[in-house]
Amino acid sequence: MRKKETLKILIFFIVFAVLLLPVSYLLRPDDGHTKATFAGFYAEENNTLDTVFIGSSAAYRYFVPPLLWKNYGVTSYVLATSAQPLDTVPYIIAEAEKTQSPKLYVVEIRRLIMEDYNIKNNLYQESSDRESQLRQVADNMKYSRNRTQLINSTVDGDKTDWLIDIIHNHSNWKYITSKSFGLMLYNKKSSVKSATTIGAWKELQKFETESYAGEQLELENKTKQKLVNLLKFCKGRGLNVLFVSTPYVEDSQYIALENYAAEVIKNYGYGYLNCNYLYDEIGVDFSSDFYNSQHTNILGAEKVTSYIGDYIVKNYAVLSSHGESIAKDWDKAYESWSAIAAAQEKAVKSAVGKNK
Amino acid sequence: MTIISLKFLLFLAVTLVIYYIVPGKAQWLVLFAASVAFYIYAGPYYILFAAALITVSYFAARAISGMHEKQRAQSQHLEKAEKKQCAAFWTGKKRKVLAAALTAVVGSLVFLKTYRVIISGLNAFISLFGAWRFKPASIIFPLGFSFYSFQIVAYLVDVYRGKCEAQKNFAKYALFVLFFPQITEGPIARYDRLAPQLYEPHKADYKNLKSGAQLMLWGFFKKLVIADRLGLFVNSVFADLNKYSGLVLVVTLSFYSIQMYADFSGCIDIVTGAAEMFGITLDKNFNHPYFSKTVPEYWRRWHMSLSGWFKDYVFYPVSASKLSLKLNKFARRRFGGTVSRAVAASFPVIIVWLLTGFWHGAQLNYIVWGLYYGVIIIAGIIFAPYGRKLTAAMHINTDSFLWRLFQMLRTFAICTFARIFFRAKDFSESVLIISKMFGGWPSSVNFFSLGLDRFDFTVVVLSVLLLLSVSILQEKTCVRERIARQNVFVRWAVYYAALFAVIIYGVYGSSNTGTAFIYEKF
Repeated sequence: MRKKETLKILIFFIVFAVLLLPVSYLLRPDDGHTKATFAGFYAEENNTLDTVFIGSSAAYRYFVPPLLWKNYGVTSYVLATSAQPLDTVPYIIAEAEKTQSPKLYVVEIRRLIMEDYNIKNNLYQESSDRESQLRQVADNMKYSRNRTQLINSTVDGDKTDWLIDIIHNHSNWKYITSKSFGLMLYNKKSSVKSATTIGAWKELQKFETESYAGEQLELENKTKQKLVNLLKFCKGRGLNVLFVSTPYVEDSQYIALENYAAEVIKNYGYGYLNCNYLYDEIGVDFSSDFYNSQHTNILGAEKVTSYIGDYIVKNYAVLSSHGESIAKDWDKAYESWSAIAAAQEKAVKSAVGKNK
Repeated sequence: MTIISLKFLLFLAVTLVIYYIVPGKAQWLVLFAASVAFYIYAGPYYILFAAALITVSYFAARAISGMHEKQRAQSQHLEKAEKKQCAAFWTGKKRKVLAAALTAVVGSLVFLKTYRVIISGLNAFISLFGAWRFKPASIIFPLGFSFYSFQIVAYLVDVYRGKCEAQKNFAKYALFVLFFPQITEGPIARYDRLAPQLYEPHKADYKNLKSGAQLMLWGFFKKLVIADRLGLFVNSVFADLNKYSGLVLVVTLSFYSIQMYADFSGCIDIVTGAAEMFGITLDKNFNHPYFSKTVPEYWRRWHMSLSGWFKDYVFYPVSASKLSLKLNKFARRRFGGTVSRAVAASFPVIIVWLLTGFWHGAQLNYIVWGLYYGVIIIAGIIFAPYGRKLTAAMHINTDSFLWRLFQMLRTFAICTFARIFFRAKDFSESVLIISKMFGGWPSSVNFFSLGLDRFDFTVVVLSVLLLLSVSILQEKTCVRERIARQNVFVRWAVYYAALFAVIIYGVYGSSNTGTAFIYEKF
């Protein structure tokens, strides 16, 4: 075989790989939120984010970057996925660090607490739940070393259809719409900078957390190890990280586990803010600010964001100056979000009003 | 490691690289090592069976070959009468060796095919007297055993007939039996055509590599896009047969016919393409069988290596046997004409089709399936003259497209009906299908609820139309050569379109489990 022919074969496969990449991205599932969140993150201009929020729905239902910008001039992004496992966080941070140098990472840890709670109470279904939770992260990260390492460290057994995710996702061709093509290169900005507030409502009863302030329940070895690994990772990279627990309807076990986690986190020299001891300071109202026992609605999200914004501005050097185009972009995001928020607030207030 | 897995593609790529790096003389050793590794990976237990049969047949062939030589040496200086005596002596000896070897090979096949059936029959009988049962040992049917055991039989008979020399090198002979692309589903190779290609050196040839890869890609398309998608529909109906009747069963069986073709011929395309990349041309196994106008023609175009094998090693010997000749003579004297022709053909035809059915499995449904074809073929011989008279009387232009189309559809229908016995899990299920097929047509059926949604149906229709168009083109020209004549942009666009069609529209991955080849179980 001549050199020319060998080269031809090589070029054929290179072109194939180049084409395979966007096709793989196109076929990744789109739940209307997660893919757009990652695409939006990748599309942000390099080194323009002051803070990155990481975690599960306990992060993306609570933190509103456009509001944080409006109130404090802090640019932020919520790189969170539904039930995001804590052992994926180091890889998400590593991926974020490729394009951004945030002055602070805010990591919400509820998923870890829930996971531990489920293990203790025999509610944990690792095989069925974990795959979809991991896939939300792995199948939304661009092909990279971080992604490969994430898969190698979190997936057991055959990893082929994780590493080459088109093997798993190829059947999604049925759900492709013209909108899907906009996200296929992961370069479409989020018009609301990842804000995912909700205009629904449910009346809840607050759990009195104060009476359990002194109680601790040790984390299982498996979950504790995940937390320790993350802390070591952050320490190793010299990152500024604030760990938080956002408000929800607690129970005695949850709060005791959070108290234990707080000790572990503090031992590594990191801050931990449990909002479930700060209901009054935040102003959270369980009769109007939630849409289910686990998540705030628009009203609750605005209060939590304001409190956290105030806290991080006072305690961490997160403020920086941003150029005119960046500021314009963020102003526009705030406008887009506030139009949505106004409708959501109206819906919630009307529902609350009707109930009264 | 199924041949549609990424593992196989990687295995093939690595083997190809090593094959073309090593000196030509050592290339066969690379194929041998790869074939043994492939078979051991498929199941370590399989190789023991294969090794035993290879050893037995190797020594038997060597012994027969040695007797050939001795016979030749002895008869050189003999008179005609003595030569005859010498030939008779050695033929007797050779026959004994051949019979012993064939008993070992065919006996193993018969044992593996029948022991479960026999044990379940015995258990059914014993159950009349008490609760005790035989527990069948968990013997797994070795992968590709039906295929390579026939290959070994052909080799032994060919050596006996003096058609080919016995291979002296044990490893070379083992390579002929175990050659990895074809071991799972054939084609059933003949020693004189395949072996020399395996042992001779090959230079890396761009044309072979390209052409082989194209054929493999087409095979993947047939298997993953068409066969496995239709399989979802077919499996969904067969999983709950009691629910369906009439039209649903007719559609399901027609889909199964297409699935079967796309599955088996797709596998053979992958196998042939893989072999082509090593510079090795395998025997053709399919020649657009659904374009056949008669059932015998269909069987000359479907699984050609199996029908060819039966023709050479069963049909001809049985036709030329003393019993068959006697039967012939008797029929000619007694009936004459068409009937005598039918009687003459019936004996070997029925034997061939009983064995063909048995080759697929010892269960009653496979035997009935074989007999069905035997009867259809004999009926064809008997009624052919009347058919010709009828078409002449009705002034039907038998050369017209419409008539040929009718013939093709008729053959398709006959073969599709036979698939009832093939797909059903046992004979009673076959009977159930037949009774339900003609037992009332449902008032309304939602075909989109039977494993395939609207999107899948669209893909099925478009891909079957593509398969049909390519098959029509292939009847007239070589499609791969036609593509090769286009400019690079068109060519590469076609390749990438095919590649992505398989990747996107193929039915595979962790959520789909139905990717085993249908013929793999035989």
